[in-house]
Amino acid sequence: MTDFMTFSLVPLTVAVIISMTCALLGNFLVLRRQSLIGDAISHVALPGIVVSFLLTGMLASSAMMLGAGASALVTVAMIELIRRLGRVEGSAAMGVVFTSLFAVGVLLLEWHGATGVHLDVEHALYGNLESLIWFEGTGPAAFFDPVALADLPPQLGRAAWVGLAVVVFVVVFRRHLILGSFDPDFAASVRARPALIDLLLVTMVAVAAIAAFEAVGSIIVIAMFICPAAAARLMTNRLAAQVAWSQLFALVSAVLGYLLAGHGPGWLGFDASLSAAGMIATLAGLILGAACVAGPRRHRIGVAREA
Amino acid sequence: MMIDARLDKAVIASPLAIHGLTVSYDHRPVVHSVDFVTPPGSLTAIVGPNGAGKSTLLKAALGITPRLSGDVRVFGRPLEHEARHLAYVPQRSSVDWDFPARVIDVVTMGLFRDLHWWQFGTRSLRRRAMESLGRVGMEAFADRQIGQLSGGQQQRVFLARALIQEADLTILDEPFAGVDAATEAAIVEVLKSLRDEGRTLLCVHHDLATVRDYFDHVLLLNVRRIAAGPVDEVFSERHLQATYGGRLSRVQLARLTEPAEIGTEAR
Repeated sequence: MTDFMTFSLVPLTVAVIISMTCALLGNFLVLRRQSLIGDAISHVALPGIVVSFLLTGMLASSAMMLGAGASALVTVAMIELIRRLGRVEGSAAMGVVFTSLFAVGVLLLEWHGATGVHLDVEHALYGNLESLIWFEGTGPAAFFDPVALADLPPQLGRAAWVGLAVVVFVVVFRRHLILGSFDPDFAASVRARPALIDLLLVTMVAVAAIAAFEAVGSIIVIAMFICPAAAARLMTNRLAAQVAWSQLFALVSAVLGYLLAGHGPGWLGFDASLSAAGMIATLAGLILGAACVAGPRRHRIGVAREA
Repeated sequence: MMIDARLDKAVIASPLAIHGLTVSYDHRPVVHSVDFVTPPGSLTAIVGPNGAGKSTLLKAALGITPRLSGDVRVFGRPLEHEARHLAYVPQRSSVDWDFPARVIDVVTMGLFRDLHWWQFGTRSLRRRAMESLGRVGMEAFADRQIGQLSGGQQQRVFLARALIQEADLTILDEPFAGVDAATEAAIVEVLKSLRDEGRTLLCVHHDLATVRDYFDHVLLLNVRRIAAGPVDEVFSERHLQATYGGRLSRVQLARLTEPAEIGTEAR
């Protein structure tokens, strides 16, 4: 129990919060056929973080968040620019932008040799969930001890704030989001500001991706933006139910993935553990696979188009 | 001076008055300096060849597409303050009908302006949506997934979403595209009943053969305004040739503009 509180409680909670937050936003990305934007933004966080490290010379998380946020905005602008000037399809523009910017980030990282500090490509991809240790979390009493609570890893608080902000955003703007996803022209005609809502959604995606990136790495973020929502779409034809399913899938992936990564190899007789982020993302993918095979709504409607 | 005063009066009475409206894509005008005052209480068709800028004109008039220049007024006041008087029925093919929503969900989207974020679905909301669905004969489909509807049923759901807005002017973009004859007749009935209540309808229309039967006013458009006015006066061989750049055959024209054909559906 003490071990669990010290070593597992915080990483597990962070994984659950971030998975559910990304999955919530993912619902709207999937409906808008924009799933790739989450992928793009979480990759581009790397060059942003590296540049802010090179500029400030430190790994302060506020500077890193700022750098990553700025690069997310640059990405969105570049995608839009390439789409218009290059006359290419939106997803192609995204693919070009995020792979090249991520590559730039890798080069910057190597060239500068910043690997001495706690910043490397591996970290960017898999995060470092297992490092979120709560040293003072030695027993249930710690929940009421201000000193122990102050020792909680800061990533937990940040994940919680971002999660809360995303939930508020989705609840307040749910009609805008639905209308803008289903029928943007009609949305504009009733002044639901679809373009502004689009931008807000991408901003929330960037905020969630960056907060998640720092704690859990980009693999889990990308998986959670797409897999739970896409799997949920195959379970139901009702949007509210789809959101509920996506949250359940994200929760199950996070909890089960974390436990399996830590204990799975032990159960099989190996004295090792696997990357929690990797396992969580894998489980999310497996759930999507299962939904593709067995989801009740996997056959899109096939009735006659004409009455 | 006299003329100005008269025009102003017409503009103030009109639910949609457009002046000098120009829209361009890639430095090419799609709609060029169009003037049109929608007669209140009319059922007006916008007619013109493909690429004539019909949909673009409507989207710009609604503030969906930015306009390069021009003035759009609703009852004499700038569009920006009065957009609630307008309802819009986009082309059916412009949305993804696989979207996870039921028929009633789509209809209540028409109440977007009336609902605050803290309000969830209420009984009175559902009642209003059912009334709208009733007018288009679709109550039985309220809880149906929208992807299960036929093209004609989809169009009627879109019309119900506009009805619930109770707007003075309803703008429809090709409401008869890809629907069967029975649905077309049903939609025309609804449009005419709305006009008879004193509401105004503006409708992009492709089938020249039915213009005289369905509409009382017409705007002939080909990037520029070719002609506009009552169907009897404006829907003539000369104007149609000008609109379609002389691509209509003499036989076609004779059939369309034959005055003997008026009266089967007298208004």
